[in-house]
Amino acid sequence: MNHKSNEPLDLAIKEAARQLVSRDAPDRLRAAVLTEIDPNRSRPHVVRSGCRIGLATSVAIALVVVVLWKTESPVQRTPNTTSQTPPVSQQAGTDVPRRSVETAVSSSSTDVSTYTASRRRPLPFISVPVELSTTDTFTPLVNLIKINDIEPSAIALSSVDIKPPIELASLNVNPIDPQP
Amino acid sequence: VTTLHVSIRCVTDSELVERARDGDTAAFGELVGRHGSAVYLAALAVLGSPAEAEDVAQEAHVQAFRRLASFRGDASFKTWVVRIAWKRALNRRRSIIRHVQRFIVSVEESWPEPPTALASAEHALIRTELYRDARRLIRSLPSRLRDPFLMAATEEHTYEELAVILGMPSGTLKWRVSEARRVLREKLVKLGH
Repeated sequence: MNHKSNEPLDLAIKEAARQLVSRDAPDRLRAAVLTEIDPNRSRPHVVRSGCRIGLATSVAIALVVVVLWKTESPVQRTPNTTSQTPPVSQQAGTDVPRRSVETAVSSSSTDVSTYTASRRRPLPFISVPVELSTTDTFTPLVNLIKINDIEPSAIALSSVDIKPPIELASLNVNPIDPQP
Repeated sequence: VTTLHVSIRCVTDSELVERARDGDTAAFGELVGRHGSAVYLAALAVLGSPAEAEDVAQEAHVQAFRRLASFRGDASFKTWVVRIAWKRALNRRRSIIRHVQRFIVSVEESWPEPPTALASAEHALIRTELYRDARRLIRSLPSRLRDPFLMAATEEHTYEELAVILGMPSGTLKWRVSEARRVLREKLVKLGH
């Protein structure tokens, strides 16, 4: 191996070859091998890190799945002209049950519509169960309906009819596809 | 700690292998510490990628540990485990996908230039170009020349050990290393160096 030469090209060739293969082995190599071959060493390490990573990953995946599911799956809505719930004017200031699947919305007009959503899709809110049942969010939505004289069912049916969109965005209203 | 360190250093590879066969993973860890660099460099010579070489080095050590019962001691442990890494690296290189990636991902890395007393800008530039061309030409060598040449360049083994690792006669090995140098020299001359 001790090829010695004074030729510049031979020296350059030798040096270039050494540059290609003269890197130090990573310090973690030994630990990595021992982790693989030593059950007593690897087991607690793997299990601990696995739990941490698994939990975090599971939570992240679950959140992503829930968000995608709620935004992608079709909405099951059934407009109902029969009012079986009190008008919003009477609901304001009262606690709306959490995870409510049926919410009555009333405009300033005499027309009363009932917006019924499935338990899976109580939208049009991004964070549905909490925000839909929160009076703070619910009330300005009703005010927006009054100001713009929007049919309550229009919120569920089409975001095109709701104006202005800036206010809509500030209310966390999530535009949804028009119902055929 | 010092006493333990000295005592481990006094233990031969054969004794460590025997202990490892009995399930002493710490003894095998000492073997990895002694010869891990040679194993890694063998994989690096074949694959050219530090990351892949690290993977192969780890796999080779694990395989060696699991096959310690088949180690007969005809060659040294170092030669044996490096040969395992060598074979694994060759198998990995044969993978079509990795073969393609080698050509698609072609990044000229930065390399430290050797110190020189004559550090004029012009001289440094010429030398940098010479080394860059030399590295490129080495990579473009056919594998039957490049592999022995780079393995010899690691300076980790004698020619006899390399012959065992690469599985070829010592005379063939020496010829291929010499031939690689000759080809590289000729090509560098043609490039004007």
